[in-house]
Amino acid sequence: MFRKRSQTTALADQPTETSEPGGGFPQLSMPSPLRLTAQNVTQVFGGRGKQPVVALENFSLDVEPGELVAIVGPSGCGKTTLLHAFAGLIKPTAGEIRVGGQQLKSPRRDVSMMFQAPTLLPWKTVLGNCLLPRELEHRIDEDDRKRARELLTWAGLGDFTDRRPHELSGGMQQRVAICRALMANPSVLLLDEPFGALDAMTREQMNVDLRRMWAASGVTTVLITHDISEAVYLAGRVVVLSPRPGRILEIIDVPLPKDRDVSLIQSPEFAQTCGHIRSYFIREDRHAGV
Amino acid sequence: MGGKGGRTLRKVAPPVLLAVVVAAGWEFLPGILGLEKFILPPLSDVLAQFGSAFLLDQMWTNGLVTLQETLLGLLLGSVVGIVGGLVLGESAIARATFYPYLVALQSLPKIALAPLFVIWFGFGTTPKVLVAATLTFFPLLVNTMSGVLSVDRARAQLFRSLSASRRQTWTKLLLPSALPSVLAGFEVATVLALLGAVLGEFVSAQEGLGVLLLQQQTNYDTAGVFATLMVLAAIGVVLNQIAVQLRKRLVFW
Repeated sequence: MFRKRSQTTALADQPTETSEPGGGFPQLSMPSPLRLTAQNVTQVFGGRGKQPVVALENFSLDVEPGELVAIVGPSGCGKTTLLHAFAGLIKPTAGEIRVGGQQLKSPRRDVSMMFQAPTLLPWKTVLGNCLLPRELEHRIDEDDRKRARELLTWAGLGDFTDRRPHELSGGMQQRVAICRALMANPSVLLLDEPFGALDAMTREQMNVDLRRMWAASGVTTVLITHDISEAVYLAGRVVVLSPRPGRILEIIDVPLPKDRDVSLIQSPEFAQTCGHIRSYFIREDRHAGV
Repeated sequence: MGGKGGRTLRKVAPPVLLAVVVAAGWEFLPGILGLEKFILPPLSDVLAQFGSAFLLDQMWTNGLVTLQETLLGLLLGSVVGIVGGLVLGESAIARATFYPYLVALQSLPKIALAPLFVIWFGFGTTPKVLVAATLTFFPLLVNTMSGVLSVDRARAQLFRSLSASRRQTWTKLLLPSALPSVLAGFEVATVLALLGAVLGEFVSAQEGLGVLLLQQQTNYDTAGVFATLMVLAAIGVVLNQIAVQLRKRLVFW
């Protein structure tokens, strides 16, 4: 833990705008980030027999290469559905999703998804879990192992590579999941409420780490969350979704510099943006009477 | 020093005490109640059986036969059960087609099949192995199938999102996921296999501990029956413990 903190502070001193290979980070620079577009995506569940449920309605979004977009909304607004569609795990009922201009039809290796739970394999070591994406792609070679070790060390897990997931705390397990997602060399990274299960303190630390990781790797990232301040701290743009069916209420440009540190949480711009987003849900709640 | 030693003592003492009480009761109650020795011989008479070189020799040769039938039955039943469970876990069509009949088959008392096996395969090892196999087959089939089907959904999605092939999903996710359930089924199966072998011997056999039991019963050698039962219990415990240790070794997570 201590080791990790000292490393991340060291990273903070480096210019994070340019992602120079090696520069303090374990070759975190990913292959060129890709543009992610959703065009009029509608997702309907159920159908035959059952009353169809519209999870997502006419959703359009253009995520620039290397951008970090957060999507916030109350539970049941189709956030996870949307992310699964971005991952190619489900096919939209209507509309289409493009990754780097190419229509997405099935899961792609360069689109990496991180789930709500760490979703580690209990029979594999931390290192083995981290290597899983490479293992499914080809035989693991020394380079992969070296890179995985570097990533894990960066995540403060250098001393835990040979442990099993059940020996780790929830926060550490989620860090392994981040490393695994990065091991796939993603052009697009999808995060589904990645820290939802963690306690508030661990969560804040993870957010700081995530922001640094993103700044260094420059990977196109979509983050789903129901935590408004998390979204504002992490993202360049925040998409506000309505309760079911999920529709875009507003896309907000976060008025914070790209180079962020934790102190920004106290700034008036931060509070204003959070308040602005919050007002949507309080209003919606009243109308919906939930 | 008292803490850890005390805890071990509290854990070990009650079962040891129970064994002593039961042994003492077994030794003295038949005399006190005036029971005939052929109804319930005192413990010392039963233990004295193991002093007879003739009986020990009989137990050894017959025990080996029963053990062989048990292990072959366990092997056959496990292989067929696991393979069947994997097929049923993989294919919804196979599940819909076979499962109702397998449940019907399971409802049938397997020992009732023994006469049929004797007609088909004679009086040798085969019918006993088959009875043992039919008993072990089902728990392994069901446990393997449910192990495969109960794979964590998020992990399955992870494998899909990583573009894992069908084969990779099987070898790297489904099989390891099913392993704890398969081995739990195997633990139950070890005891059932021994049961099947002895039952098979009851129906028709020249050798085996089941045959020895029948001979001792015919001679009203009750002490001998108890001695044989002890050997059977020991075999059962050892087989089961091997399975338990195997599970602990393989399922370390």
